[in-house]
Amino acid sequence: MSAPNKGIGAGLFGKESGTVYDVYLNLTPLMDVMSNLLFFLLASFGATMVAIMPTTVPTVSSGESTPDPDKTEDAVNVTLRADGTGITLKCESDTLAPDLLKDLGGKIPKKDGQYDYKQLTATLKSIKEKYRASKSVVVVPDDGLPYEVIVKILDAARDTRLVDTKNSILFPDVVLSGIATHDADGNLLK
Amino acid sequence: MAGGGGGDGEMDVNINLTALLDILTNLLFFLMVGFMSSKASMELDGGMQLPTSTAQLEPKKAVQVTVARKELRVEKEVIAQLRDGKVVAAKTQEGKIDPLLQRLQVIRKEKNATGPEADILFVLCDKDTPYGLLRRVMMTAAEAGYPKFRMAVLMQ
Repeated sequence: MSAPNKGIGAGLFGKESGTVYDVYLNLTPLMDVMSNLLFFLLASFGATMVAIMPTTVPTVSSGESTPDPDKTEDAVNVTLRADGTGITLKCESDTLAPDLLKDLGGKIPKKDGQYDYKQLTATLKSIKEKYRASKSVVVVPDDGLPYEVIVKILDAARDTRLVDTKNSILFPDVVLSGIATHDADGNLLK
Repeated sequence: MAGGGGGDGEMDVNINLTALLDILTNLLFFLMVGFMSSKASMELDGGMQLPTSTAQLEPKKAVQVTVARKELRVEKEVIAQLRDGKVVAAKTQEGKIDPLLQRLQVIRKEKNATGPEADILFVLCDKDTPYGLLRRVMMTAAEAGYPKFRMAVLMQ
């Protein structure tokens, strides 16, 4: 393993009679341990790629809401109602007349038994292009709708990744609600 | 490098593994740092599956509520049993889940936290959970003082 060497470096620290040993450490077991650790860490790292989606629920406020005086742009709040037939969009605004908003939104029927997420994103994109300050969307899903489908609706409402290669933000502020916001005729309840 | 070598033609070859070990150590170090910086700890047991999403936001630590297939948990404590998307044998009133409300109120009082992060819940929910159950969980949490949620999803 090692052998005395009286060649170069023999006089280190000023001692002419010093002896230098060539030591070969056996690193193979250490390599084994590290390779195993690396493997397990890599495996678990890939399994926990978890992200979050921020959402809120409607809450009752004690004070009256006052419009922000700094706001110069008009904004609309979009309500999405997802039921067995499709997704219904309704827009409302504190500053805009209801007549201006009645043509926005509408119903997006299901396609082959699935919600048409691309059409939803395209419709929301057209609303966003018209009223750029808009940020909020209220999602009202049916009670029987699986959570997975709701996540897909939220994905379609949040950004344009589903239809555009260039991603841009649509409605990042999501409120999940189960409280009826429309009457039987589909009119938004005040 | 090579040492020895007898008359039988055998050679002891000592491969220098130091450079490779350096690389492995660096990799290990970065992986471990990355692993520790995933701030929220998650346990996806009981056959629970999260939905996939295009969301990119990183998880942050908050009080964790898990809506699994068969049970409802706060942190690691089982609060109620679930069957077919409904709470079993737990008192409920006005759409709220009483044991969840009580547990969250206790946690909120114990933590006595203030600031923007104090009223946020980290929710792990199985992808097949009906919205009716999730809505009741969220409404109960809002009643207990947690109206904001970080819904956990798997990155696409």
